[in-house]
Amino acid sequence: MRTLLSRLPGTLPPLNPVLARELKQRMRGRLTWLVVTGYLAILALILRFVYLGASQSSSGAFADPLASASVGRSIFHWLLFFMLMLVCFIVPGLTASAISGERERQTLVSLQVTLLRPRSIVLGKLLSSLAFTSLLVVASLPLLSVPFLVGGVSVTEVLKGVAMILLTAVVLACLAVASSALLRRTQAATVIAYGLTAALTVGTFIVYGGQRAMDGPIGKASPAILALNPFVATADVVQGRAQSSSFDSPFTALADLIRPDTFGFATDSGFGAAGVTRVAVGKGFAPAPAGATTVPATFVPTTIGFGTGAPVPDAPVPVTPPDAAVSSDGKIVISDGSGPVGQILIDPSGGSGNGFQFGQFPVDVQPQAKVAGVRLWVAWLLTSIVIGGLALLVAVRRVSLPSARDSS
Amino acid sequence: MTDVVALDEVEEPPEAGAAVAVRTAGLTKRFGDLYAVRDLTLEVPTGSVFGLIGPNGAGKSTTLSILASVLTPTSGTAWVAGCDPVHDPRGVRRQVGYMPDVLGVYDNLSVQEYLEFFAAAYSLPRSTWKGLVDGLLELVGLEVKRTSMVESLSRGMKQRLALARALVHDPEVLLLDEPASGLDPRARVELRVLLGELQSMGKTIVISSHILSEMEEMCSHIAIMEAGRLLAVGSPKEIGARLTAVAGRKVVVHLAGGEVRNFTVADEDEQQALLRRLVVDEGLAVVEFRVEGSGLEDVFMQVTEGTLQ
Repeated sequence: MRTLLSRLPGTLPPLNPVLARELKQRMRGRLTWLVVTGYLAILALILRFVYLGASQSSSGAFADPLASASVGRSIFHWLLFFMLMLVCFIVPGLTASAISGERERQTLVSLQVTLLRPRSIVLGKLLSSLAFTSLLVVASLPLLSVPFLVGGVSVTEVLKGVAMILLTAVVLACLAVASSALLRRTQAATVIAYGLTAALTVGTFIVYGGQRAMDGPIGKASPAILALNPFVATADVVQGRAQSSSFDSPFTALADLIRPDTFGFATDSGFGAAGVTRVAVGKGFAPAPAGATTVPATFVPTTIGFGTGAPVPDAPVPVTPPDAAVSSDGKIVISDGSGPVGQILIDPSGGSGNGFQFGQFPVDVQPQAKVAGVRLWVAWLLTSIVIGGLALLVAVRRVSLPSARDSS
Repeated sequence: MTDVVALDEVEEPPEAGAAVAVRTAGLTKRFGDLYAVRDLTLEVPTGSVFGLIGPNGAGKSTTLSILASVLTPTSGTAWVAGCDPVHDPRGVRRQVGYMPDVLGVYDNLSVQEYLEFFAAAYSLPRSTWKGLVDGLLELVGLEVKRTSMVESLSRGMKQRLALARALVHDPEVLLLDEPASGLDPRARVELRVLLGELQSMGKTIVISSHILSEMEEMCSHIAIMEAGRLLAVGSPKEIGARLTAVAGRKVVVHLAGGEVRNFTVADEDEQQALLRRLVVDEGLAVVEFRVEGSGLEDVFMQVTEGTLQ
């Protein structure tokens, strides 16, 4: 790498010195290989567990490509969910010693009196932690490729999911760096970093649960607080659900929390006919824009909540007229005049268990969750940028010298 | 309000070319109720080896930290190599090599990589690193340890490595905080030789220590601090003379026949007069004429003892 770099003088900006040093040290550390191995072992175990469970509960197993796709979706969502969880466990611990560790080793002052700017020190620390997290995510890509073997997941979906994991890692690392800069002891910094992580994940659920308990009926509490939660935001990004009964996606329940009241299933019995994408809608949607391809469909209403499908009528309920449009890229978009309010994903997993006959293709109507007028995941991204940016500013301020306090 | 601003601007930095590398004026640093440094006014001539000497807690490290742009003084001003560490810390850092009193080293890094890291931290071009590291390792005598891990070095070697680190950007002024602490006698001698070399390279060295005997031989100037105050400043000889004048010297005279007499004299002249009186005037058979505590160390002990808080 070094010879390569020296052969290309001026073509690459010099690597942040702190980052370069940290990468060397990190990869020479005794525990590094253990972390990587442990992380992959846990994910592999989860993969095996979900694979076995989902393929057993899905009738016909892999003879039926649709059932197979459902297994694929299940595996993908569960892996993503656990990767997110592992990131929440690993990143704060990895990053909380960034600045306080240097302080404890008495190396920080020597670093601060060089010409390195405080922001370079903080950024180098942040990037070194994120580089290792990225290594973990990249190392788990082979596991994420298993869903491709069984089907049901697109490359875009995988990329979206991985992007959400990395973005989550960035936010958590920013918070951990800030707590590491503010607190003198690594121990205290670690506790605060995990505390902040817990506040964003578990904490937001508790607040939301409290709101719902006060508000009474399900679905009335505002999910705005959940826009801080990386799990919910990921659920919003990787929409769609697996239809297999016992190994659904962990994101389904999360997505159900934040969806507007109106949604449902729809089905189209003539899916295979001419390659035409069919549309079905729930109540409350505005008429389709002019020129959109709409087709009649049947509609099964459900209520919101954990789990799906209750109550399901014995027979599909016909809905007319259909109120949705097919966009140019084949996606079915439901519009309320001001913009898209939902989209329909064609779930190829068959309708067994949800009142659909085999051979029909249930369509999952998923209205988009919005917070203050923007998509929930966009709201998450914006608040995350603000939180992370503020955290970095605090850290940079704290690392700047000369200070009036004794910083040794 | 305007008064405060005016105070900052009243004192002009020393003009360029003035042979003063470090200057402080009324420098004061307070931590809560504790004055770490109190109204310190110093001038360090360019090219000198300036020893800051005092017992633990005298304010030596705090003074060096302020000069190295780590701490802001509560009041007073400082100039280091023509820059104000409070308002132009980067200007100071460019020209100052600072070695803190604690040796922090990184795990999993070789000696060469350690120095390269600091070269990168000073934004030195990568093409210069090899020559730089070679030169520094030769200077501090660590060539054979080039590929050793930093944490495996002995304390003396770490100290020399820390000195090499402070020299990475070829600074004009070196601020060394207790560089000799914890070293065995041999390592101390090596350090002294090394500092002599650096002085001959034209660098100004400010060095803090509580080991007076070391400073006596090494330093061209000595400042004695206690409880944040400057007690005395001058060349080791002047300091010795001035302090001796205060404390007096003890002279032990052994006479033939085993008799021992003790005298106290004020200075060199009085000491010679005493000898003349004993041998010539009184005609005594003097076997041994020993001046006790003529070393700075003893004088220092006598002077500072009473004022310790």
